[in-house]
Amino acid sequence: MASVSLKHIYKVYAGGVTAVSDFCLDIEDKEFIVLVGPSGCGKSTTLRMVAGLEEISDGELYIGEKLVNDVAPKDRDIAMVFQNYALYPHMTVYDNMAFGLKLRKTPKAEIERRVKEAARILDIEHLLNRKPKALSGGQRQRVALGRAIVREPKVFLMDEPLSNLDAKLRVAMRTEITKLHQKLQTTFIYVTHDQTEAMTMGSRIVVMRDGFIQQCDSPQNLYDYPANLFVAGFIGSPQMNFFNVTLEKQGGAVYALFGDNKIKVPEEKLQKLLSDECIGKEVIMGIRPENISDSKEACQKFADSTVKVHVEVTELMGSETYLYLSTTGKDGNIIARVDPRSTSRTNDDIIVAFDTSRLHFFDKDSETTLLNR
Amino acid sequence: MYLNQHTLAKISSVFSLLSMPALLLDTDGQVILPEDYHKQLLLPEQLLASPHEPFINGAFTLIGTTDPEPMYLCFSGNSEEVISIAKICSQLISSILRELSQDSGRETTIRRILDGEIDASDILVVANDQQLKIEAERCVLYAQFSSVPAESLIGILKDAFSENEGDYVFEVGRHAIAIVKEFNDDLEPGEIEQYAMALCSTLTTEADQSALIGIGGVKHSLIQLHESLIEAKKAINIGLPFRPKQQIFNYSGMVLERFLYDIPEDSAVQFHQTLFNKKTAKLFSEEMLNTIEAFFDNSLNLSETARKLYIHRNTLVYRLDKIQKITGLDLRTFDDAMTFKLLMLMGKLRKDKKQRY
Repeated sequence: MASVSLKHIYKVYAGGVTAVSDFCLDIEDKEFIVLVGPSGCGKSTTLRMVAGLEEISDGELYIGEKLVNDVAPKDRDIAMVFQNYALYPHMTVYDNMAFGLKLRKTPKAEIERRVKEAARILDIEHLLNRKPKALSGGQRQRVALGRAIVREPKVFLMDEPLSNLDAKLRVAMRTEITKLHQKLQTTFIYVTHDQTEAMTMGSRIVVMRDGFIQQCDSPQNLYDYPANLFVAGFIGSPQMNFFNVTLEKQGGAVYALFGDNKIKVPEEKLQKLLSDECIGKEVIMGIRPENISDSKEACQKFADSTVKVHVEVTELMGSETYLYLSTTGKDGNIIARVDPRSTSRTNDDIIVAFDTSRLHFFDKDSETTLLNR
Repeated sequence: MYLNQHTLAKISSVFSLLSMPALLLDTDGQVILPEDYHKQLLLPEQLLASPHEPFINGAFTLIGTTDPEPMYLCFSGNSEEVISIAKICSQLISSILRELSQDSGRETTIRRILDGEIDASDILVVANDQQLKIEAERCVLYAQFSSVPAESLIGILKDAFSENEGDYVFEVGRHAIAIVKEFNDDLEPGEIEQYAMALCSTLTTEADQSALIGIGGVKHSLIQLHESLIEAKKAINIGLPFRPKQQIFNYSGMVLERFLYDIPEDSAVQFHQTLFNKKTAKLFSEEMLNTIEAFFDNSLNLSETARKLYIHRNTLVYRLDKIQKITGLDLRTFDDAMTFKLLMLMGKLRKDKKQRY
């Protein structure tokens, strides 16, 4: 078990392409940290630098108290699990799990102890004599995890380990990995591009884009207090709705104006504004789909923040319904997540209410949030 | 003398039958068995002079093995019983080592076949001499490393393969290793790519090495191993320009790439430019090309591609519509997708040839 500390880490490839810039992060012992971001954001490169598979161009990497920039991967006391589980097809599950230890000349009795212990943790004891071809995808991924566990590393590094599995299995394995972290009580660093995976698994999430950390926080804080427009759009599905609005003072109140629509910004939000300078200017307003409602109660409660919309499409998801709406002053659709018993139908013209306590505001140029927590 | 895991396991099993502790030492006195006993002992001159005679050194009995190259055994005790056990063990372990040496004769033969030094008329005699099966399903894997000398990895790979009779590992260049793999009930030809992937993963985790692995065609006769090695090397050469991020290239699965590789460059350029020209330069940005490749890799499945690229399905549809509008090719249909893929691959090949020459 160990903490991991990345201090001003850079990765610059030959030719000058910078994949990771000024990456600073302290990962505590036993923490489950998730690096998330779109393809090419530098998350896998960062993980591979921790693993030692990529050279660090600049900065310092500590595992525990030890500076490991120049330590060979096999001596870093880490274990990596990739999306490709790469098991030897001719070996049994036991032999696959024991193989790395054999190569390291670990005594036989110790190999047996570690393999059996890992198999018990992963609940695959009954599979030890099987060959990989007799296993399902999920079972194979468990064996790959077992191969990492037997090394008894200080840190587990996982690079999109579930992306080769089908949707149902991915959900199941997500829970398994979370349980595994609880059982092993070891530091986990997990890379994914799937924000749902990140939100459900990580104790902290690092959102990355173009090689830079955008925000590092708990899942709930990322969702509730996105630091910028990118994080706001990336975390949450369906994603947050954005509007180009002008904040205007009218009769002592402040309104967000877009098209023919007028949303009253509540006093508590105004108090959270980082600066009054944005009033009178164009900003970006964000609201999550679940904070837009077509119910009568909501329209009464938020009477001064209703919007006339046209229903383009409705999608009944079972537990909820998505309404794809259009209105003046907004390019593209607004998505609202409403009650499945909603009576709104395609081509209806309806009124929806915005829960203004959940509004977000971002600067139009810097795209950073304009609100304090 | 390099002792593989299989041989060490055999000697360990002999030791495990004894009622006293025993060590296996090399010519420098380095303890080889037990594997976790990292010590070096000073071997007495007298023992080195006549290794086959038991030598009593205080409370220990030492003895050497016979040919091919002496190894030494050390037993706890100096009684008559220990001395006779030492003599029996020396004989037993000598025969195990002779077997290993015979294997190395086989290795030399296989190596000569790989190098194309043995022709078809001699193969029967050579195979009989070395008790090698002529008819068996085999293929050659060719692993290429960017910087590390191959000799530093040979030990790891030998350990990985030594338990399978019929498998051989050779250094075939400063940065390359060839692996002859014989198929049996445990491993079928269809599993060879998975096998190569596991090998790549082992090299990464245990030796910090990233390798490119070419897989030659499956052959039925011993003499064809040379051909399989050539194919394995070719697979990397041909495959890399088309898929620069890939590590494993299977010659048998690269029919399209091989076909394109043989097209004269002028024709390839002409065809490529029918699609990739000034008019479409703006359309085919890096992001757009990545999208298209992902769409092809996911068998033209819109939802799966969108998931892998982490983009909305509608965004993907929009991009495909844009391509159709400008080029006339609807990549959702097989024929158009195939046309596009061929023209795109021709471009990659051209770029690679330009870089090489």
